[in-house]
Amino acid sequence: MLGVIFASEYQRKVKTRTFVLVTLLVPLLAVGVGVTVALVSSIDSSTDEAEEREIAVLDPTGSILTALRQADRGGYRFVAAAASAETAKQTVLDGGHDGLLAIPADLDAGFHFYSRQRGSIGEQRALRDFVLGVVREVRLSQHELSPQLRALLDGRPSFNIVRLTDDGEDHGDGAFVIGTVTAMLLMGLVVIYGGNVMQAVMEEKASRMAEIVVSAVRPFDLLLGKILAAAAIGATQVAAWITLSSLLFLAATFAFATFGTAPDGPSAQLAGPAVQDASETLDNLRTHGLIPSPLPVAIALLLLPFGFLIHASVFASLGALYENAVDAQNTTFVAMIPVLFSASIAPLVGQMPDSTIVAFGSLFPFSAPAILPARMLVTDVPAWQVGAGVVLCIAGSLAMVWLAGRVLRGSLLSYGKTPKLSDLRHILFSD
Amino acid sequence: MLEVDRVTKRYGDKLAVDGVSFAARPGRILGLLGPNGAGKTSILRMVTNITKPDAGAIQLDGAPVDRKSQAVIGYMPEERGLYRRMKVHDQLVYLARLKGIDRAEARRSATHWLDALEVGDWRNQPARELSRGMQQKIQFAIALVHSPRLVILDEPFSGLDPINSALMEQVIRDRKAAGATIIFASHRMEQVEELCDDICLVASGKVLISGELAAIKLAQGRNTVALEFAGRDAFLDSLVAAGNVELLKRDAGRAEMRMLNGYSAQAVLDAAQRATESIYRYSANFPSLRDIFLTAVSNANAATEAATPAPPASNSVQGKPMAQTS
Repeated sequence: MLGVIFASEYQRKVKTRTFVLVTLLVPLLAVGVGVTVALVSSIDSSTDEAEEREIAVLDPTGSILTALRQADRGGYRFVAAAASAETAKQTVLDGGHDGLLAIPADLDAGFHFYSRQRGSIGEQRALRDFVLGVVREVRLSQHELSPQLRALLDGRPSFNIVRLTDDGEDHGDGAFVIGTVTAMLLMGLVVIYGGNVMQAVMEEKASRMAEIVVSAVRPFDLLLGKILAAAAIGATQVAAWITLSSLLFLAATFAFATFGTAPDGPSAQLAGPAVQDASETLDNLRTHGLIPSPLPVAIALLLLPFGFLIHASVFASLGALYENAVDAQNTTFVAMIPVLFSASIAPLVGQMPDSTIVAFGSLFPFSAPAILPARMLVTDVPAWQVGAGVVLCIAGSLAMVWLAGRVLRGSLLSYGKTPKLSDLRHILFSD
Repeated sequence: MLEVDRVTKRYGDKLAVDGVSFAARPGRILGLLGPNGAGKTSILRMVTNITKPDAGAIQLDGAPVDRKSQAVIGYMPEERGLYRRMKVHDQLVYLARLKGIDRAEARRSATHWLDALEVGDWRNQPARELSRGMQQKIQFAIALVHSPRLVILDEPFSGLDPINSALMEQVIRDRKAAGATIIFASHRMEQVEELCDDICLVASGKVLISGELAAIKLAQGRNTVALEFAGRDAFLDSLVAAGNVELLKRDAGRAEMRMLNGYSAQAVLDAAQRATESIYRYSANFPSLRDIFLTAVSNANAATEAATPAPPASNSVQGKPMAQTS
């Protein structure tokens, strides 16, 4: 029976015009927006490139300006400023210079950069790092440093935290990745597709088919079929989005490579080192943190569907209680409370993995799918807690579907009425 | 055979079904009658295993009603609809499959029933494009698509035109002839009277009358008289004033009445002959199902009122106890 309900529900939704449209339009829109942004920024950067920016430099030390010119960052031309700061600022305001860099006589004091536009944060940082880097070089070169001392100053040793476990050394810091990814994935799925479950159950009641269907199957089977179908529909849609977006992105990249110009302005050049840093960090994560031990990953994968099931059951119960979409929408915050609970515990896993609240979160069926695997990566979770977390989550999610089934069956008795809190007892506990 | 034995169902403080017993036999149609809120739907939901009785037992062909028996029950509830966007044929196939029929057989049976109910041309249309009457025929087909042994129809004819009513009536008779047990819940007495072999009349969750319709009528006797006459009709007032009859209908030169307190039909004829100029028609009849229904319900209400302390100003009527036959 479950298979029949699942198949019917899945086919009915996947064949709707809305589903096809949303599935096709979202990647088109996403890639379209991406391409537009890239095009606009490439136009910006080519304009920027044509107009090299002229920066006036007030340099009481007499050495920095020369060093800046020698360092030659490209995109910027450094010139000596007029005699006073006020005159130079006025020149910037009048459009004579694109910016004014005021270097203090005492190099330990503050540097100032004046311009009419602040520029992006990336540009600001790149300019700051470039100028301070040049100043540091100038100041270091004024002292005779031995190569050893120089190497000492330039060196940036790494500091690695390694967790010792019975299975060996764990260099991983994948807890954040796994915890955050699972929590975000679950939240996203629940928010987008939980609403669909509510809608599907409400439709069953509003179309007056629920009574005919539950005279053939258990309400539990009906709701489980609907929730699993919603999950499968979600998986189909996400898979279609990823595939289509990748294809479109490849096509767009190819088009850019063939017909367009790659963004290559001063901002891109200045952002170079930052990008390099980021890819280094990624490399570090790849070698150390992104490949966590297999058990927590297996548990994350095992619990993810049950996590969806338990949260979607709350939506299903709301759909069963109400026939009116507005009434139901007004109560969706009830379904969001357990999701927000997981989301608020997730950041604590890294900070205090052995605290009572995180331990509770890893056992509580609503938050266990996100918290338990993440916690296992950070600390040694006793085996009984892992077992209890998994069992509670699976049992809890099935119990929630059963409860939603009770609500659906009970609410058949009150067609056309908005249920009151006092009706809930009859709905849940009458046979 | 369906046997409902002393079944009780309570929703919170409200006793919806109170020790109800009746039986529905194969190859016969049982009419389940009762005023609004009598507990008919509550009984049908227990028979279809949607809810469970608090006390008592329901058996279908000797086995307690459970999930398995749902596969051999066809149910057309009073609150019914269709999936608005789903094609008509697909709805029938889906619901047949939920009853455990395999896909090929479900498709074949769906096509058969759509043709039998003259809606085959709409098989690929979504339900929302169908008229109300057509939708009702689809709902009827849903109750039959899996060839159930027990067919339960709650107000199946409401809002249907006479042609489609007749078509559905014929299908119900065919199912009866094929040996199915049929329960037919309705307010439409003339249709129940035409279709049903047995009746079960419930009010306030209790059975008032149950048994074979012909036997129930026979037990009531030919206790109604229909008269057509020319002349003054004041004799009717005298009969009523003496407590001998209760008037059911009264027009110029025409009246229908029920005998009270053992008053005979012959005495009515004598009174009419004395008081009128001529009599065109006289007949002594069995009571109609409608009369049986109204009398039983009003007597039951009166009995309930008499049993509970009456407010000072009320005019309670002493009810006549109604015989139960089974």
